[in-house]
Amino acid sequence: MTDPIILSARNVKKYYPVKTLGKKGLVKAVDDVSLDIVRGETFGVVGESGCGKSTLGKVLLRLEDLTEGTVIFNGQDLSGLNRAGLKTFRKQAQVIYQDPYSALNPKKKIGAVIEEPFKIHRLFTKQERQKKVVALLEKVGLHPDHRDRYPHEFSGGQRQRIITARALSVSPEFILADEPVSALDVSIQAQVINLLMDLKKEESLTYLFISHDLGVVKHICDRLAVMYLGRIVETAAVEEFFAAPLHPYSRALIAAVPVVDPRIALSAILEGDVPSPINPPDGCHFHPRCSIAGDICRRKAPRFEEKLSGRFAACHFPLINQGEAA
Amino acid sequence: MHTLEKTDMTEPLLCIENMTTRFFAGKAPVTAVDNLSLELGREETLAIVGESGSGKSVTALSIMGLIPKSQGRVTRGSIRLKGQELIGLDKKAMTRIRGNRISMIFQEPMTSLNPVLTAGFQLMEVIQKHRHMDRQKARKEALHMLSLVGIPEPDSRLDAYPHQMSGGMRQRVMIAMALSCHPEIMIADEPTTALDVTIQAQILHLINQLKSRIGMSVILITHDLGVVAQTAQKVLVMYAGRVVEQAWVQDLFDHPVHPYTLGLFASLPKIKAKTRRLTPIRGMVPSLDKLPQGCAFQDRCDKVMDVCRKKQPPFVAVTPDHFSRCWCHESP
Repeated sequence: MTDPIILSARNVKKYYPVKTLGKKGLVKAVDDVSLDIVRGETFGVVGESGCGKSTLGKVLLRLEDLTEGTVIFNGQDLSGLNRAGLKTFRKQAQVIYQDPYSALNPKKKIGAVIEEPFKIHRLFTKQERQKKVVALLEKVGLHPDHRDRYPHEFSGGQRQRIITARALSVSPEFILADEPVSALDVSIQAQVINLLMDLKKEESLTYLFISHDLGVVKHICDRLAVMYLGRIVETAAVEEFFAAPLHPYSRALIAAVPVVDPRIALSAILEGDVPSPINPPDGCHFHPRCSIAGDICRRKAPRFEEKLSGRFAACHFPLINQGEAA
Repeated sequence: MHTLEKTDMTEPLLCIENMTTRFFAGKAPVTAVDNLSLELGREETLAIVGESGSGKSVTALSIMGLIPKSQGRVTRGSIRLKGQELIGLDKKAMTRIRGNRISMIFQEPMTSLNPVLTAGFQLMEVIQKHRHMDRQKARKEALHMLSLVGIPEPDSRLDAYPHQMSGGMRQRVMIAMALSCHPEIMIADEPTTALDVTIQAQILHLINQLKSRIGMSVILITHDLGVVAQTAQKVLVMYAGRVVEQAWVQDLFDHPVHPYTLGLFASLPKIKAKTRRLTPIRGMVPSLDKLPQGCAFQDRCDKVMDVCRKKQPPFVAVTPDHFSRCWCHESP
């Protein structure tokens, strides 16, 4: 029997050394993050810029080495992999990035772009590869003739399809999608979201979906984690999360999304800016912006723990109605 | 002419009629804005919605007289500010209008601010130039403007460089600059697109607040229907250089009628609803130099008819204050 957990991270840290005005410091881009991603689910990571969500994605796939902690993928510790092991792992886990303009080599034809992973992994004969390329193009909604064209001949939405085809070429089990639709217009964004959801079903994929757009995350994800200044402040199933967030930051984040209805005015506007990650506030990182912060929040960082059955948050005063507490 | 305000008999603050902006830089001339008309009342927010290439930013630049002469110009129509015609004004007269009476803020506040000058210097420069104040008075006024846009500790912020500020702070400085000459109209081109959602909420709230506090009107250009819902009274939806639908905001959100507007709403992942599959608009926006004959939306439209491929649809009143450019309203 296969393990239901495909990826498991424990106490993952990624610190970058920085020098500001001659003083040495550390940016704790990812600070003590633990999470489990279940096979077949779409797991979202949301947060504002600088919260560490993209860095988290990179260390989980060992695109960057982590400072501390362990990441287990399919029962294998990623930090122990040698070159050959890493190559096999890259076949199982692929990446789709945000900017479809910089992710494609402008001098390479689309056919060659999609074929490249086959060459790297020495898969199939030349004829078979050509056939596979055509099949992949059709799978992502492009025309077989497109393989002889260059990236500049395509729109943003089409390029995102090309990148998706390339990621799918080696039949991965796991895809990290880092803001895959953020650069696209709304009508095109909907096309790509539908494509990603269809592919997930057809190819039985697991997604790690990183986004700042709560609307998209709610639509596509099963579970999510909210990050703030390098730490996860809450994880929950998407439905439960949007119905009743536990962390005050989650609540503020949901409230800040402009509702597509002129009758509903913006409510509960969060004051202040995200503090600098070089010198984050003591205690709970969120306390300077939090409306319900108490004395303890300034002194002690809250533990990330189960607050209600199956729901985790890092907060001294989680938003739980009386009588609901675990 | 399409009049939204029937009760107001006087000329609205800003009145644009049949404005067409064309660019001549490429091989063939391109019509970026085609026959656009709009009216903006006092203390009103008008939103122009559209996707990339719809002509919404070119509309803003046309109003500001900022289309580079070497590349294009407004070829037809009229733009009147309180009855005064802006098209054909000489450079000097237009400079007096810009900043003093109509000002503009852009999407990316980092590229609009000079990185080697302090925020205060840049703000004071505007005040000194446009309002002919000496340094000391200008400094006082700059402090006042910074506190007006909600910047904490404006005293110390005045001497800060743009890179020392967050994106939200920089956008506040841009707004302070735009408002420092008490303009009658502020044009905001995607003012919150580069910002995080909690900061976006702050800036939208600020714009709404300032509008009534200092009595100005706003033209807000955006691709985000949520932003429209939270700020605008009137909405224009643009597609491939043309206005395809125009209505009061509540009316547009309750009863969108143009197939493109309907498609935009269907494409949105809804935070409140529980649908699993989105209904995108198929295909993609046509390039402006290769527009088909007839309606520009024909290849993506589910309701396309023969007539759509032959003739441009007329802009018709569906209800007295709600206009749409589609042949589907003409069918028997």
